Amino acid sequence: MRYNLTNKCFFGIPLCDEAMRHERPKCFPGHNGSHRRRSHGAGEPFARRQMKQDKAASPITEKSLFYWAFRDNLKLQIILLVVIVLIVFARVIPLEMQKRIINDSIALRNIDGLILYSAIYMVAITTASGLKLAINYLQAVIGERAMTAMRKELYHHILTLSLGFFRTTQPGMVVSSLMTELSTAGTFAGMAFAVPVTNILTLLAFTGYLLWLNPKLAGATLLIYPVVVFVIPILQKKANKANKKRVDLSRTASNQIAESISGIHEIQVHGAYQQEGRKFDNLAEKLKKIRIRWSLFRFGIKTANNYFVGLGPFVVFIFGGYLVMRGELALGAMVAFLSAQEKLFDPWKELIDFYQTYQDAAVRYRRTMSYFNSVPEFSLDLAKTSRPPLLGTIDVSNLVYETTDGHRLLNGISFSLTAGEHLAVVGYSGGGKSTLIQSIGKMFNYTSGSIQLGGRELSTIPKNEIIQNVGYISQNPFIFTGSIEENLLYAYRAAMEAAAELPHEEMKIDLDRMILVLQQVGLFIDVMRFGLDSIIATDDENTTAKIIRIRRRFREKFGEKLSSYVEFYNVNSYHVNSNVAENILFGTSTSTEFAFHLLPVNAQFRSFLQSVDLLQPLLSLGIELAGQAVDILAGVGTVDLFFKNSPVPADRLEECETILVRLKKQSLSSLPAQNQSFLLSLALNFTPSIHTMSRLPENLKELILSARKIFPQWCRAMSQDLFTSYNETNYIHGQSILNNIFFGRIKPGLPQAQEIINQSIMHLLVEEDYLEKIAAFGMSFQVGTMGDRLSGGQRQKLAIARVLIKQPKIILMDEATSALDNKSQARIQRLMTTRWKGKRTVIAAVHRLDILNTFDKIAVMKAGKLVEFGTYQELIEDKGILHELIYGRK
Amino acid sequence: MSSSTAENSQVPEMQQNLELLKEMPCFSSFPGKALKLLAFLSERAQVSPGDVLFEEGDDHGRAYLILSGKLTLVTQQDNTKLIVKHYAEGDFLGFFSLLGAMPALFTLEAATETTLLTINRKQFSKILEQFPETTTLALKALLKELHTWERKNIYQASACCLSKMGVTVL
Repeated sequence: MRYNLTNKCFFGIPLCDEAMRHERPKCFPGHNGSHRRRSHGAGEPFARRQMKQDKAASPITEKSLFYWAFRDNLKLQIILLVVIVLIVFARVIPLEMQKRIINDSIALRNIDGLILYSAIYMVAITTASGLKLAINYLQAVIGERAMTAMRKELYHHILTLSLGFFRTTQPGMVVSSLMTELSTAGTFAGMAFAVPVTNILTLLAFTGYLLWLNPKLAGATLLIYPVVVFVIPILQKKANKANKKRVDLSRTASNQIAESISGIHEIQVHGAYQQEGRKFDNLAEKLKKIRIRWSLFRFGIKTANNYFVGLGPFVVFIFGGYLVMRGELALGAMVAFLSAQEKLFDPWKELIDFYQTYQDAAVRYRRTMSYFNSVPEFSLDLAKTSRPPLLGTIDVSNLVYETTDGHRLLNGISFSLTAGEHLAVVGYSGGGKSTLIQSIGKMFNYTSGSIQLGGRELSTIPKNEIIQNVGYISQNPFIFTGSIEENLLYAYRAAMEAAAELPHEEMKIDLDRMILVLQQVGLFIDVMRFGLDSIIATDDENTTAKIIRIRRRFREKFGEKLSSYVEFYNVNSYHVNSNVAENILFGTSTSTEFAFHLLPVNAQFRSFLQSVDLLQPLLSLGIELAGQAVDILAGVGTVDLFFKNSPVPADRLEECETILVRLKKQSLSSLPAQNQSFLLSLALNFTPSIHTMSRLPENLKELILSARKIFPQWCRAMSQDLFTSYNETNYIHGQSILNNIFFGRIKPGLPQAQEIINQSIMHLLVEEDYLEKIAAFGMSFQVGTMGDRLSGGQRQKLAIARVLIKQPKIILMDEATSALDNKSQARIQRLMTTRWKGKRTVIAAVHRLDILNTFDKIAVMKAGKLVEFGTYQELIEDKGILHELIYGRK
Repeated sequence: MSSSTAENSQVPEMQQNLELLKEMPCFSSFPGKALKLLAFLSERAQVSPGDVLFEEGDDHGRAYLILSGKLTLVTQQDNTKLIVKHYAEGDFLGFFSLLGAMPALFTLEAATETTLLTINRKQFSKILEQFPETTTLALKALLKELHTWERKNIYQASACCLSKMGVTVL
């Protein structure tokens, strides 16, 4: 019996990544001090510039909040200071003018003085307002700059953190830290300098002015403030405590949400709605309590402050009034005093606000930064290394990897490979295969022993050299949102950036090489299909002309051969692979009003349908389709797979139900217009070969075919060139390149047709020298979020291709071909033996034992130990564990 | 494309699929709604002589109901192709591979022009997800299939092959 180690799971528990789970961020000798500052992302010019500036500084997570306010913003802060000094002057002048207007002008009936003082007053307050605007603007600029710098650098730092860190960190947590928590810190950074300086200066100026006016009265009024300064910090301390709790709790709550949503399958399968709900309710309740407490203290501070400051005028009236009566104070001075005293209130209030914002921001900032305050395991040394390129030899001796809880995942592994040798690692799940491969790829640090690449100890080789020389392909490769090309060049670009500081645009790679690599991994046909399925821009006349030429050649060479796989367009036959609308029109319109998706609401088209007796039958068809869809799909989850072949999209199923209920009570013609056009749209989209839940009655087919004959005349009656019928010599815009070459559509349900069609089309494209062009279209195919528009096999092939294109000396494969079918697997195997042998050293964890004989050496692992090592022949002859794995226990 | 019988009939293809699935022991105990969805998701395919449906080692994850025509199961031993058995109209194969990863130990080819109704694992597991009670029903059906298979074979197996029996006591 043949033994296949197919799955890395044991009773549903993944055993493959113990190493990663137990991994904890830890400091590694030789990676502290000066290396820390290199925690920014690789290759980003911004980060690089920064590194030069703060040499030997602490990691960014340990920077104070004020650091961000001043770094890079020094010039702006100085300008701000100048503006602030000006504004303080501009604020004091009106007070003096006020006094002079009353004392000098009004009392002495001096008109000229009145006008002069009033004018100065006007100018001063206008200037003050203008300057205030300038301050706000500068503050906003500084704040945004600081926050952006914070975000960027923290993000670059996070990207380099050890894999162990991310085992325990929810993605949502990183998102909210970067996007929400830091924004308060940013706002504060903008205020950090301007607000205290403006307000303290203003306060001092007003206080000075008051003392100058009347020292006795001023002293009495100012007595209030020490009381405030004593009370507020006490309240603030309590508010801070509550705030800290709030930040922690909301983080726990976000994690809880993230966890529940990621595990939604389990929750729904077990029906654990209540349990999960309770967990969240609990946190939400706690959060509510702490938020109320926090708000209470915050508003307590505001109210206390307002109350004390509000006592100010009271003192002025009582004591000032007494002084005026005794003739020790002029009335004008008292008015000025009253204004100035009131004006003290604003800067004071702003200072208190500032104090609160500072406390809040500092709490959030500290919490956020401390969360990410771990040092990357490996430094990303971007300095150019003049070392000779790494050789492909690998020597592992006595390698041990121990998790923090003392579990040995690798236990004294030793072996050597010469450059270009291929090693297969086999063994039971949990035997340590992945851990070994990831250790060699420097994804985490091993506990003891040594790994030498090209005679140099792995821990002394900078990460950038590893990035250039080692390619790693995982079992479940991650594909990023973007085009095929972007994903293909992903590792290559990173390696280039690690190697030299090439500007981004110089990292182009020519199409031929990309095509070659895609062919090698067996992804080229897929990419060609993407290219052929793409729709080209209407103004690309060169391409359309070329494709029409290819269409002619296709008909001549393959028309007959492929007639059973393709439904060619023919004006006299009904096309079951096209929808009803297309069957009626059999053409395209130049007017956007006649676009397919707008036909159901186009009144003219509706009247046409009426005139050829199609409207009623089509509406009935719509009702039937709606009924079928509701019957089959109502009440089931909105799973994409279910709705793929449904005439009704998931979000409109409810509308169908409403219409069907209405139709029980009222007639079709009395339905609202939008319901009718919805039913019509269902019928017009109906494609018999896809929507198998209904059939198209024969008589309706006949009606549609005769409507098709009348339609061009009807169009001409409206406008001469409104419409072009499908025609062998015209390009059909809005349809794929492939459909245009066919001048028809492929029939579904013929699994073998694909290959024959592919061969024919390739043949033709090569002949017409158009292969590269179509491949280029295919390269720009968008793979979807995390590559979800690609199949598992396609994702693995793309992952192999992206490593291949950077041409690493050493290739590490962790069950890299597990999702591939036999043929693709064989292709990769062939590639390895013919192109890589002797050139690239390969270590591959292998689960399929029937491909082992192409490897130079086989290593069998069991419980973290290397139990057998040798050539395939040797190990089979030994009749040891490998023999047992392949042939079973005797 | 649809088989010739489907082409002539006025019954929609999906309804025909539903009637076929209802008759099958593997699915007959499924609730009506789940069966309907299964009939809706299942696809028809047409293959020609020599076409390979899956190859040894592939985890094809598909079940096939033969509507018309013939399929052959073969195995490669020491570079010679050995025919294991033939399947004909009405036969259903691949049910196990719907339930989980099951790399093929044989190769399946079409012997004649054949029309099939196919269900794949992705569709089937979505249905199990939507109707949790069907998981148990599928498991029961699987055990019954196994039992029937071994009971039928135990009487036919000669003494030499008897030691290869015993799937039901695994």
